[in-house]
Amino acid sequence: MIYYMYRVKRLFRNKIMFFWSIIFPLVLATFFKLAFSSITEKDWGFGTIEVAVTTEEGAVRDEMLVAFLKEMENEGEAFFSVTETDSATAEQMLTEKKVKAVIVTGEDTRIHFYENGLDSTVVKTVVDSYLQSKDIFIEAAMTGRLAEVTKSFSEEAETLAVREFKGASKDPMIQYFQALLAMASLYGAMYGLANTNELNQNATDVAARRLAAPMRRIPTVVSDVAAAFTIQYVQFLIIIAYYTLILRVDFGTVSGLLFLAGALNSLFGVLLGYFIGCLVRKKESIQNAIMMGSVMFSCFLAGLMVGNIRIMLEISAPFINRINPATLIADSFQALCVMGDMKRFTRCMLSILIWCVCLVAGSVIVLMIRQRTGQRREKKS
Amino acid sequence: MKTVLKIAKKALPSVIIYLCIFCALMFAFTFFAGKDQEKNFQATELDIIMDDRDASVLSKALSDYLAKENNVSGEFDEELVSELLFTGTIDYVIYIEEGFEEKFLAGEQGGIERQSIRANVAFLDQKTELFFRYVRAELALGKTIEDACDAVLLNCDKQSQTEVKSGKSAFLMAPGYYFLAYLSYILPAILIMILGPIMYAFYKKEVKMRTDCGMVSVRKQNMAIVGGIAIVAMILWSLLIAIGAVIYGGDFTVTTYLYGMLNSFLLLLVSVAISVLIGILVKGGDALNGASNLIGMGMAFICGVFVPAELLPDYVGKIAEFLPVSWYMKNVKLLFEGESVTEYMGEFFGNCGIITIFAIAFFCIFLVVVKRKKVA
Repeated sequence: MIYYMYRVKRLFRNKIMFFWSIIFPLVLATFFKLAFSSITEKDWGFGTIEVAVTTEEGAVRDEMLVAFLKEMENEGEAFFSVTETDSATAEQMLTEKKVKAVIVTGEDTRIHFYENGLDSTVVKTVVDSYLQSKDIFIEAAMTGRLAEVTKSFSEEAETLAVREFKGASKDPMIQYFQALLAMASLYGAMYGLANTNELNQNATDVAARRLAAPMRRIPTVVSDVAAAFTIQYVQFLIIIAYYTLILRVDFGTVSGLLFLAGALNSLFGVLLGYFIGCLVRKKESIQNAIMMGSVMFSCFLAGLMVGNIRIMLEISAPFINRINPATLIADSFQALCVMGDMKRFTRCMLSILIWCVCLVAGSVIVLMIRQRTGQRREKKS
Repeated sequence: MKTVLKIAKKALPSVIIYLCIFCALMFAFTFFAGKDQEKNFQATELDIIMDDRDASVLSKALSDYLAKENNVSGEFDEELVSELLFTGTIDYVIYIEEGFEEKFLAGEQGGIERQSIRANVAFLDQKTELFFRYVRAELALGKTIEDACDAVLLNCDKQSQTEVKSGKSAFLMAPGYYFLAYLSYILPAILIMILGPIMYAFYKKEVKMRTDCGMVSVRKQNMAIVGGIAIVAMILWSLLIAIGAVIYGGDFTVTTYLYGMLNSFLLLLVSVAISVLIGILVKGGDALNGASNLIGMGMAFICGVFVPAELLPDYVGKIAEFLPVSWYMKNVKLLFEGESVTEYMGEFFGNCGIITIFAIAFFCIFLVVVKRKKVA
């Protein structure tokens, strides 16, 4: 126990590891929050579109179109804010981006946009719908069935029903925070790597001193793993608290299982570091580069840099998503907190567990092979 | 000066990593960048999935009707659909039950649902509702369901005439824009990694005391350091500008390229001032790596490099005004947004002035810190 406490202290005092495993994810999360917090609202939210309506010279203003535009609404909010003005003022407003479109009524209806985009598409769709409706009424009037058409057209019946999205969060930007949490979990590899280097007499002086101490190897390794896991798990808790209590990220439903998943993911991070430490017996800087490179590549595939890459892989190469650790971690948070999909959550957790077993087995096998090779060399010499 | 260059050479592996990140980011965003700059209207096509279990004339007509201006797919994967909606890979899902057409013809409601998490697809709801109204109106004219659907599809070819002033899409710029934008992330990040160790090496207390005792005057020492830093900074800047010219030359006119160069040169001055300041404040390579990441990424996130400034919260925009990169980005936008940059000359040079003031301010802080360190 004392050995475990000292190990926790030792790992905790490493400023560089502390920075990368806790400060960096927190700062990055803050940047994400600052940059992404209003994207969904501004890009996906419904907002009234400013339009100007003007008339061709010598033509009569299409009052029905103006009324049609003014009447259109969604859940009590108007689709358009209509400014009726002369041609020159309307064009000036468009250039100054005070309106998204200028609708010119006359013999032919024309629309001037400043730029392409969804707002422009909405304006065009609505104006086209109006023109198409007008044609139906003209045809009805010509065939003498205007009354029937007007009656059927003005029926209030709504054919299309709305099916609610079942997810607990409707903010797609949460994917970045999930991937960031995956990155923070995998950064636990730094502690695992530090532990292996401080038990490898060829790597550091500390390791040489520790190995000279009268203590059996297995309890030492177990205390080391427990210490690294403790720090990593506490960091996970700090990040979750920072997300939900300070940044107020809509992380979905936070349940007890999230903390269990966090524990398993933290353990995975630490074991990954152990495996890299056992496998790569090179300079510490090379080990760190390999560890950081593999973690960042895994996080890239989980959507840390390009949010939708996870779903793109799910469609084109689902196999990668089933084995990539960062994707499995991010996916477990998505399944548990957002989608409430316990089947997927269990699958992700089982995969991480299998990964943990493989890493432990891999580390042991590598060490055994090394030991045997060393013994053979000793015999030969 | 030779020593300065020797220390700078040591930072080469980190610089190569940063340059790779820079190129990867540029190529990724160039892929999504606006390619068509013609003055034609281009509708924003939404991605719609139809789970059509009715396969009737009416449901097929609805699919054709929506497909005229959107991407409609019939491939429906029940397990993936929520995920696709959540990630914005698809915008809208329409579920049509079996027997929907009979219900519709009998005047009953139900049998069709839509799902989306975007609020701004309300116009698509209206469009779909209008489709059913058109069909009802055509049926009221005595037509069969087949004829009614055909008439609606034929009628929807009637469209208004459109004209686009700028020919650009909102939030979608030419590839050259992304080159200049990402320059503002990479320049400070790389320069901190290179110049930081130089400053740390020369202004380390023991080293400084020893060199001050030497035969080379302080003035000469400073000139050598400044010369070395200038050479390193100019090499890096020229390299990046050359990459831009080779890959994205087509996106620039001679004028915009020259203005872009001026803008990025001022950014270089600010970056050098920030880097030497950080170099003297932060100790050790690992700490410099952290500082470089935080400063480079921090300014890029807040100042509208990674996310367009229009999509940032208003308070972030106000904070960004206290950072040089936001003024640099304003100039980059002027180069690509307007018809001609000469229209906005006053604004452009005003922003350049602010960037220069930032460079002077950071350099003054650096001098104060050096002075204090000397006194201490």
